[in-house]
Amino acid sequence: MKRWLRYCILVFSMLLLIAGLWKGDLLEGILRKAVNLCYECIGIG
Amino acid sequence: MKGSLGRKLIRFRLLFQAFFFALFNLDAATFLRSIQQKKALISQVSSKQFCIPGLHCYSCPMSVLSCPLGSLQFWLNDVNERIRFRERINSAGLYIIGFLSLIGITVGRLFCGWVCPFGLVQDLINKITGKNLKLPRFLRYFKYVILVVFVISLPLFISDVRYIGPWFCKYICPAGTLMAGIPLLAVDEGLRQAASGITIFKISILVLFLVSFLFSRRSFCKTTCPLGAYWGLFNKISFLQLKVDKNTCINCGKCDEVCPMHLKVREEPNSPECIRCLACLKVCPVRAITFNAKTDRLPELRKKTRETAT
Repeated sequence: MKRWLRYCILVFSMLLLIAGLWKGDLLEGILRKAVNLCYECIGIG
Repeated sequence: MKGSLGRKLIRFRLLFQAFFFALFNLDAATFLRSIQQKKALISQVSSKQFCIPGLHCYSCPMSVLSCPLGSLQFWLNDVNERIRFRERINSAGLYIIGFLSLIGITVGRLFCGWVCPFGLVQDLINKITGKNLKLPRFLRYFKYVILVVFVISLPLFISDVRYIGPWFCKYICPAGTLMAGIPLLAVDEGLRQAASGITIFKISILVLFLVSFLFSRRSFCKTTCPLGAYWGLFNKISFLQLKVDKNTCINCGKCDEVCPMHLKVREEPNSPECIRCLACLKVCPVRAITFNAKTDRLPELRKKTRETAT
């Protein structure tokens, strides 16, 4: 049971990862935020 | 990791952490430029579209990868906005969830112990005193509250005219204050003038944690880290499992003594709290603690250790 759960989560995680890389726009979704100074992160604003 | 090579590698855990810290902060040129120009500049490399397997602010001037928690909060807030304006949701967040889950299911919290840059900070500060006071047990559940409330629920459900987005980053994260806030505030006069009550609040949280690291090892990981809380959920089912051979174990208790997380290793080797620093594996005199594979029973070594003890 535990073994199957383990493999199911592994496959599901890989599918999510691939779907995110393939269909998602990482440049817009992550990079655009990451290259701009995050004032919230550093405690300003 | 079962044989002697693994045990040798464990001695160099700090070096591993330092190596990954350097790897995640390759863009030192940007910080030097930031100091020269006295202006807050952060790395602009395109590799920042990918996440760090640990807690490290992407506003750190030298960081070449993104913080997975910050990215997740921004994405959840973006999902909220797009639903409100009936726009197509960006699937980039699936990458973040898949990335974190993949690490969790393969090695559990191993990256907390070996890779996380903020883990390195905690370990180094604790080396000054070497103390490890036991914290109240209920505090370990606080990190799950942080994960559910500050990292997931607030960014996903609260949409304010005053943009907040990453709630955890804004109000709690001491890693962001230390790695990004303080260096940038130090170089940029404009930022210092813009500092407000929140800046003081966040610096106070940071100071509180820095002091706590002196007296309790990995106190942030124990009580507050949402990333550790998420990866900890996988510890019991991950492919990497710690096993204690009860037949070989001589109940010397050395594993419990060295555990930074105050775990009873013999009873719960795969506790969600375990950061898999593998200190227990290193100190076990009879090698009763191993990974997944069948434990190599060493009766002669066990006998020898018993003789020495008596």
